[in-house]
Amino acid sequence: MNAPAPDSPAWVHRFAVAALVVTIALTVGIGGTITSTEVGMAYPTWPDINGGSLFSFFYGELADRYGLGSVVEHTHRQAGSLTGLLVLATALGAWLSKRADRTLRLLATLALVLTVGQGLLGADRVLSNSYLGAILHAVGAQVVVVALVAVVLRSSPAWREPPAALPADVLGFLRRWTTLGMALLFLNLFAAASVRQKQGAFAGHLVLALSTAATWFVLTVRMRRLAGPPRLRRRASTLLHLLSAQVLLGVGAWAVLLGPLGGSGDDRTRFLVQAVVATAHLLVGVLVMAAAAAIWTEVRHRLRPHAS
Amino acid sequence: MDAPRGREAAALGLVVLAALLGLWLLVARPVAVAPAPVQPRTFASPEEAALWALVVERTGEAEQPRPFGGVGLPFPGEADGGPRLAMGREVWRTQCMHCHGFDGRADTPTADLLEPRPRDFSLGIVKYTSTEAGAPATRDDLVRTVRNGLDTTAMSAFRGLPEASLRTVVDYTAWLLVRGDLWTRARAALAEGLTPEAALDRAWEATLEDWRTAPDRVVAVPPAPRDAAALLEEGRRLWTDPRAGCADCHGADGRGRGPLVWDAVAERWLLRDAWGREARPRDLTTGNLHGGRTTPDLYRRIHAGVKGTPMTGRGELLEPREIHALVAWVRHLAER
Repeated sequence: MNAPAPDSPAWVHRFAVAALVVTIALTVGIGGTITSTEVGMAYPTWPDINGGSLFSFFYGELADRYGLGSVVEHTHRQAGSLTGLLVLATALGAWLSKRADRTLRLLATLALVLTVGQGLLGADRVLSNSYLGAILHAVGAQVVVVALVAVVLRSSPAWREPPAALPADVLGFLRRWTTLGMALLFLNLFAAASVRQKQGAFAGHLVLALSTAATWFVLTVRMRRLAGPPRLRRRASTLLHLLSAQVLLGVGAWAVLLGPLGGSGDDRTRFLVQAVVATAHLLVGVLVMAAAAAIWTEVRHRLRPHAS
Repeated sequence: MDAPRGREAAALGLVVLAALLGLWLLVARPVAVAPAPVQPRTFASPEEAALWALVVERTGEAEQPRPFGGVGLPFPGEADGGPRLAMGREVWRTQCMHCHGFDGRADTPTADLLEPRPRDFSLGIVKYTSTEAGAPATRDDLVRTVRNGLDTTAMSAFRGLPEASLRTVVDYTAWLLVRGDLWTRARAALAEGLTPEAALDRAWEATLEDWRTAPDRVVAVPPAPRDAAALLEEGRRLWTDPRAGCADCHGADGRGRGPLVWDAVAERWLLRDAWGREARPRDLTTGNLHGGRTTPDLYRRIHAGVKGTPMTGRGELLEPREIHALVAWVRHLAER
C-alpha cells in the first residue's frame, strides 16, 4: 500500500524542478543543437578547451580561434555542469533534511549517479570519437530526465495526498501498458539517436515511432475518459498534445532532412531550418518522455485499486 | 472478461512485433544521410569549363569515382580501385561529408562553424605530410591522419572505424586529392595557353607520377643528438636567427604574431594560404600542435614546411642538428 510520504522541505523540490528545467531547456537543448549542426567534435578535448576550464567564459576568444561550433560545445558542457550542481544540491538536500523519506533520498542519489555517468559518457564520446558513445549519451540524457521527474514528483506537496483509487482491472491495464509504453519510448529513442548519428536506418525509427505514438495515443485517450483521478487526466491531456506536436515535428524533420524539402532553398537557410526542426523534434521528444514518465510514476505509485 | 483480455493480448503481440520489426529495419536497411549541399562550380572561361568536363570524363564524378582511367589508384599496389572507391564513398557520406563536403571542397555550413576549417581537398594539398617540400602526401600520411586525427582540431581520431572502412575512405580521399591536384595543374597549364586536352595530358602524367613516387620522398629523420641542454639553447638562439626565420612569423615569444604575418597597428593578418584564408602561424605556447608532436612530426614540419601555407621548409637551409635544436625549442615553448 502507498503510505503518505513524509513532508520534504520545499527547497529540495525547487532544486529538483530547477535541475529538470535546466537539463531539458539548456543541457539537452544545446546538446541537440550540437548534433543537429554536427559540431560535436569542434574541440576534441575534455573537460578543458584551449586551457580554459569548464567555468571559463571566453566565448569571443573561442569563436575566433576554434569557430562558433566550439562555443556551442563549451556551452553544452557548462550547462551539463550546472545540471550536475543542481542535482548535487538536490541530493544533498534530500540527505540532510530530516523530513525527506528514504525513497526520495535514494532517488535523488540515483539521479546524481546517472548525471555523473552521463557527463562521463559525454567525455567518452568526445575523447574516443565513438558513435556508440554518442548514441548512449543521447539515451542517457533522457534517463536522467526520467530520474529527475521521479525526484520532482516524489518531493512535491501533491505526493503527500492520499492515493486515488481505480477499478483493479483498469489499474492493471494501465500499469501494464504504461510500462510497455516507457519501454517503447526508450527503444524509439535509441533508434532516433542511431539515425541522428548515421548508424541506423530511418525505416527502423519510423516503425518504432509509429508504434510508440499509437500506443500512447490509445493510452492517453483512455486515461482522459477515466472517471477517476483528475491529475492523471490532466497529465494524459498534456501528453496527448505533446505527442501530436511531436508527430508533426517528426514529419517536418523527415521532410526537411530526407524528404521532398531536403534540397530546397539556399544552403545556409536549409541548414538552419534543418537544425531548428531537428532540435525542436528532439526537445519535444524529451518533453514527451518527461510527461510519460510522470504518468508512469503516477500509475505505479499514486493509484490504488478500489477496495471491493 | 475473456474477450477484452484476448484483445489486449493481441494488441500486445502486435506492438511487440512492430518493435521487433523496427529494430530489424534499424540495422538491416541502409543508413539515410541528409543530402549535403553541392555548390555549383564556377569557371573563369569556357575553356576552363571544357577542361573540367575532360577531368570528369577521365576520373568520374564525386558520387561515381573512377580510378583514373583504369590505371588504378596512384598508390603502389592498388591495381583495382573501382569497388573500393565506391565503398570509400559510402564511408565518406556518413563520416566525412558533413565537414569536408559533398565533393571534398569543405563548403558546408558545418565547416563554417569550425576553426581551423576542415580541409578543402580540391587543390590536392595536404598540409601535414611526411614527405619533402613539393611532394604530395603518402598513403601512410592519410591513414595516420584519419586514424589519429589532427591534434586539437575538429578532425578527431577515427580509431573506432573498422579497418576496411578506414582503408576505403583513405582510397576515396586520395582520389579526391589526386583529382584536385590534377585540376590545379591542368588549370595552370591552360593559363599558359594550351588547349584543354593538351593541358590535361600534360598534368595527367606529372600528377600521377608525383603521387606514385611520394613514398620515395619521405623525409628521413636522423636520431636526435643526446646533449639536450645544449640543443635547447641552440634552438632558442636559432629561433630568432634569420636563417631559420621562425620568429618572423611565430614571433620571438612563439605566440604566432610575428612582424611578417601580423599588422599590430591595424590588427590584421597579412598573409593568406593556398585556399585564400588568413594564414595564422601557430601560437606554440598554447601547446596545440595540429600536425603532431612527436620528434619525426616536428622535424619533418620544419624540414618540409606546412604545405599550402606561407611556412616553407627549412631543410635546404639548416643542418639536421639545427632542425633537431628547433624541435627541442618548439617543444619547450609548447610544454612550458
